[in-house]
Amino acid sequence: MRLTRVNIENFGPFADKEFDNISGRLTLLHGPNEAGKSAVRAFLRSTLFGYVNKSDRSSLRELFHYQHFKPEAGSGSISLTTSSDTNYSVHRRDGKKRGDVVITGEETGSDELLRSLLGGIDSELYTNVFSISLTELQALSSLNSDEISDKIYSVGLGLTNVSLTDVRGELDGELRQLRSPRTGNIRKLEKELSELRSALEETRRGSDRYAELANSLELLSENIDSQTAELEDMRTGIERQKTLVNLRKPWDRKIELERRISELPDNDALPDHAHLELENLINQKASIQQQIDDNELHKLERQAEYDSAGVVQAFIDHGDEARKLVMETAYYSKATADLPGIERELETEQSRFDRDIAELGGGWDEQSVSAFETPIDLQANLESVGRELTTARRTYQSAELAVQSRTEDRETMADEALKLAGARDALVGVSEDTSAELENRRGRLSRLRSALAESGSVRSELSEAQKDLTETLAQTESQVIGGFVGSILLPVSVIIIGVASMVWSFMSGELSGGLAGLIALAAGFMLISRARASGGFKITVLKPAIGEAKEVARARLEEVQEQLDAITEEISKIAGEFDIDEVASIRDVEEIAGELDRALDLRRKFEAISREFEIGAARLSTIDTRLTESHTSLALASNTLADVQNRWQLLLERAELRIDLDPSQAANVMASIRTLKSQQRTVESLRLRVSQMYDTAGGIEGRLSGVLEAAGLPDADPMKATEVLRDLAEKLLAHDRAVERRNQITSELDILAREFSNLEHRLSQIDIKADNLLDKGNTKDHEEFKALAQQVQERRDLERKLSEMREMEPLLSSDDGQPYRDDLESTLHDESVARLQQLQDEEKRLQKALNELHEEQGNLRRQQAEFEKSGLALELHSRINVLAEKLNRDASRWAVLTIARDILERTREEFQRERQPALMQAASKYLSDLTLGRYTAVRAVIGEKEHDLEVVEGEAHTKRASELSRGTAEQLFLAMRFALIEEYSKNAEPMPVVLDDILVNFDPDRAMAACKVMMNLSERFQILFLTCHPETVAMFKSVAPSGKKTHANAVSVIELGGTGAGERLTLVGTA
Amino acid sequence: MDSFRFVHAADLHIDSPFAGIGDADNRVANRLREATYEAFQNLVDLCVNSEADFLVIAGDVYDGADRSVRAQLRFRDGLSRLADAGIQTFVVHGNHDPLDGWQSSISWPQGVHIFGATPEWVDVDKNGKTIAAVQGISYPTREVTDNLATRFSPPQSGDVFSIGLLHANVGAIKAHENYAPCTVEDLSSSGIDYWALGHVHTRQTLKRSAPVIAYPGNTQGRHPNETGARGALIVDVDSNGESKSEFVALDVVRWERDEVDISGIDTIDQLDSMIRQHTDNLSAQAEGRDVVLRLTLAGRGPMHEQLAAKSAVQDLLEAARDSWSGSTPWVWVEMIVDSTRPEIDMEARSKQDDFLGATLKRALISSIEEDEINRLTEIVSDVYSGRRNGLDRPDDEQVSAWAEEARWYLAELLEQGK
Repeated sequence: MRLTRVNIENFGPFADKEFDNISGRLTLLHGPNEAGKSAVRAFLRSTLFGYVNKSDRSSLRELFHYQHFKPEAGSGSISLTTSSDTNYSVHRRDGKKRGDVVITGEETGSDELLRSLLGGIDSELYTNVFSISLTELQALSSLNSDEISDKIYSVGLGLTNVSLTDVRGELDGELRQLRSPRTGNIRKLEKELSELRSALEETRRGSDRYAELANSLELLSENIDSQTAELEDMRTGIERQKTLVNLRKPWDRKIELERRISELPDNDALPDHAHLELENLINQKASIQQQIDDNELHKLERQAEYDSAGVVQAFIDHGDEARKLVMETAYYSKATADLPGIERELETEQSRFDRDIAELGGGWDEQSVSAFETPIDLQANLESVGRELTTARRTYQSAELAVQSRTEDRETMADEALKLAGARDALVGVSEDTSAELENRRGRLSRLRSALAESGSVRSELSEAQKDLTETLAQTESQVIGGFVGSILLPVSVIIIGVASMVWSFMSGELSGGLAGLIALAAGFMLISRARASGGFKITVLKPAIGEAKEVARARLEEVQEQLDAITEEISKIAGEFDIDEVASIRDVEEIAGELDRALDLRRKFEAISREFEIGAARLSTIDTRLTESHTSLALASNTLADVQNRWQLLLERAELRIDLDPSQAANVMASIRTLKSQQRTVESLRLRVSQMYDTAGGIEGRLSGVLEAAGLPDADPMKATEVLRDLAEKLLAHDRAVERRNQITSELDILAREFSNLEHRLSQIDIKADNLLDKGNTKDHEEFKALAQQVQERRDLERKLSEMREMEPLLSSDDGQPYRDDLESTLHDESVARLQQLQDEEKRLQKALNELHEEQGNLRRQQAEFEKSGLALELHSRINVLAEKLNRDASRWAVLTIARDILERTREEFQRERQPALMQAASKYLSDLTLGRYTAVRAVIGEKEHDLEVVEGEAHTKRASELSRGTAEQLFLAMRFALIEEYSKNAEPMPVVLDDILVNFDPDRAMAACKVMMNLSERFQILFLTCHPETVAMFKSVAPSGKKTHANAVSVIELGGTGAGERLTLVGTA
Repeated sequence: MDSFRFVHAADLHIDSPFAGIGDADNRVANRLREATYEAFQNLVDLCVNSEADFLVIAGDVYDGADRSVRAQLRFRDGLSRLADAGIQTFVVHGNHDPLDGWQSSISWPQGVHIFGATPEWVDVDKNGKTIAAVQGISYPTREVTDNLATRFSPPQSGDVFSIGLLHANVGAIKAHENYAPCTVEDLSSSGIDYWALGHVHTRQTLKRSAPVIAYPGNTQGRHPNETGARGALIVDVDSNGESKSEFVALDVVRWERDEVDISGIDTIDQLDSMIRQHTDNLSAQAEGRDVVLRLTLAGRGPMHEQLAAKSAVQDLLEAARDSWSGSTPWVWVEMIVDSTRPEIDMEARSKQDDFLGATLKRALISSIEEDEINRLTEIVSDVYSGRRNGLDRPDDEQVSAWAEEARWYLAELLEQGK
């Protein structure tokens, strides 16, 4: 919404003043003090939201209440254009309820329309956000109205049941109660405890006995310490002496070892246990020699075995043939065994074949059967034409039967038709009319009969009606007369009585009689009047009642007469149809009806026979048609049969079969020939098999003879060589085993030879080793060498033992052990033992003394404890314990709450830092621009009782709004306003912004920055900036867009005059 | 080797003052004061009735170094009864009653052997035949941090069952002061058949054979942390030198801890009834003994808010005590600890993207992460400095527990406004 014109009729220093040079963006109202700048702001507010009055708070009145130029109510109008280019003029004149508003333009209206135009923005919000002077700018509280603070402090915490402020308050409250900088339960308890402990110390110090005990304890402790140290020294001495005593045996042993070592020879060249090694070599040599001997013996044994193995030379030469024969043994054996059986089978098959061929008939012999061949197509044709022939015969027979059957049917039907025609023609006197016509006539006759009966009834009804009419007429006359007499008699009598009474009264001078007469007279006239009203006196008006009854009776009479006429007419008509006299009687009718019924029966019978005859005739016609068809089919079937028969005979001829065979016979002959051919093949196969078996057995026997001959064995009988073959197999197996064993012996002999060579080599190696060993001992004699090596070995063993002893008892060789070694050399063992005993006795004495000291110490401590358990000390202890427990509890609670507070605060800071509403993000941007980047963000402080803002300086350093300098605080609040203006414009028409010299506390740089921000802001929100500073005007001009036209549209300056007089105000014009 | 039976006891703590019974009524206080004496009496009865051949006591016979005359006399009387029954007693002193503690001039009966600060072997004879050998060592002073086990010498004869009597912390058990520390290996390599240990108050067998190493626990529980049955071990040794032990309860007042879950409980009287049910059960389990109970109310439910009301827990406590007033045996509810939590689905609530969810997540992290715990330790160091007020710097576990408590506190505060 933009302000386009301001017309001040009467407000403050202005009268009838109009400003229309207002920019759509930024308008500067410049003028010296008291030129009326603030009055313009007040006028705008008053016109939009109403004039302030006495009920408003003084701060508002100070700002917006003015003495007007004219001595009348303030008034004026402003023109507005909405963002949709709708124009309005708002006029307000001060008066009741903050003045009367009249809106003209696209719409006309009053307060309600104005509220709608303002989009729900109220005067407070307007004053705090859209129209601000230094007064509003400097106060944070002006941002604390509920509506604004809801927008600023709306960090989404999601707390539904509590407010963070209350929670912090409660937590802090309990924490303060437990511990605050100067007070709190914990501090109190600490203080009390400290006092009690001091008091306890004081009590202890104040008691001579306690002091004495403490002193004694101290002395005793020192004594115990020194005695303990002495005891420790003593124990050290004992330990040393024990060591010395324990070292004696190893020491003596060491001396002995060293002596023995010195007596034995040394020879580094000899390995350890050289005598054993030599012994071992000698033993090895003997062992190998033994093995060589054993090897030779084995060789001889194997050679002998080789020579005696049962190998047959003939099998070596003819081995393959012999093995093949052996493998064929089973086959040969089976062939010779099966041959008689197969020969028998051949014989049986041959005789069966001969018999079957004889059965087939003349002309067929083994040769012709063998030669008989039917090509496959002929065979197929035979089968196919055979099937056709069978079908043709069946079709012919079927056609023949159909002709026969239909001929019989026709004859039967013709007989039946003739019979029906005879029966029909036999019927005499059949009516010409159809049965339907006769039935119709019968119906009419029935109607005549019922009409006759009805006419009798109607006639009696007619006479009844006539009688009713007569009676009705007589009854109506007498009733009318009775009514007239009744109606006139009573009033006339009353009048007469009245007149009589009045006469009597006149005559007797009795007033009461006159009065009664008068009443009676009046009553008589009243009755007459009433009778007249109901028509009681007129005889003429009674007549219509008599006529009406008669009319009813007459109408009834006429109605019955009409019925009778109608029936009579119908009777006459129907009687006419049957040629009956006009006066028909029931009897006549019955007679005619009897005749008609008989005619109807006859006619129905005639029609039934006729229908049956017609049906029979139709069926006869149909069967004639069918018979003709059957004859045609028969002729066709006959032709087909002849044709197929012909083809069949031709085929039989082709197959060289008798031509009189029918298909089944031909099939049987063909099957028999096929069976014979199969039998013939079986016989031939058996003959071949027998011949082959003889050949095979013969072949095997021939080959066997060769092998047997070569092996020098007797030949076998023909067909009885099975046993010989088996014997040959066994002999061959024995031969194979002998050959295998001989091969085995050969490889064993090879191994023995290799072993022999190996043993020879080892023997020479051993000799070399033994010689080397002996060389190291500088001798060739084995015994001499062994003696030397044994001594060297003994020396080495002793040296090892000595070394182990030194390891076990380092004191025997180490530097540390030197004093021990000196003592061992200088003292005797018994002396050392005696010294140890002496030391141990001393230790016991010292230990006992120390125990006594400990006991004394315990005694003193007990007494000290007794002191602590008695009197004031006990009480102090008890109180200290109680307080300590309490302190412990409170401190624990404090720790929990402190940790809770820390967690809560850190979460709060996180939310404050990271979850600020969009409004605060916009404000942060403005603040950064206004402070030239020094302050990067502004945040709403959450969870505190009083609303507050904090700003972030640089990266993280934060300051509260109250800690800022005046100028920076104003920049912060201005940034907040700009953000709020943006926020409100999201849902409502943007309001013109009025700023009253708000840059006065800004340094030049920040003022310039602010001008830039406002210039940019004015692109979206119209700004009226009121200032008395020419440099501010200059600054705005310097930041305006550079193009001349753009510049002119962006900024306009309205100069206001210097005094308070309205007429001296001048409009200077645009920049 | 002849078979025999001995009783292994330790930590009698006769005349122990008892902790945590500040407001117990006279009846309870008197009973507790006498409890260690009576438990010792039960020990003597056990030895006599089970026809034990001897008794070994592994230290801490008296509760304090300043052992009372009454305690010493009662102890002597008990040992006299055993001596009369022909039962020998072997005793070592521990950190609570070291040799340097005060002692009356008591004459010990025949058959009582009290070991000194130097270990020595003492034979146990039965029918003129040595059936076992006992070696023991007493604490010369309270603070013994040397490994005493290494001072023991191997058994003199492999044919006699050997027993080592030692008051020590084997395997550095954390809950106990680390006096005379040694390891199971130290004891196993000694050649001794049975290590009769004392010092750890909870019964436990560290090794079942070759050698047996066992703590019998103390004979009478003395504070809320010493719950359950307390007593001694009867050890039977067969002719093969194999031993078998059986625990026998000797305590007269049993300390118990129990928990009542408030889930599903809607009213105070239901809760009261539930507490009575628990105390009835515990009394039945104690087999005629008196019971001192520390009861914890736990779980989540509507009762949490009611319990937060002023004096609600105290009232429940008094009601529980009243219900047992005049009963024998009795149950004394020493304390009711309210550990209940509000009915908040912590897990689901922590997942929500709002202020409460973020707070609870942060609180959970604070109770878990080391850096956070260190930071919180610093925050509370104003009070927990250990300098003036005796409140030591808390360990991580304590700070974590506080953070957890803070989590629930915040959940309740932010969800319900408390």
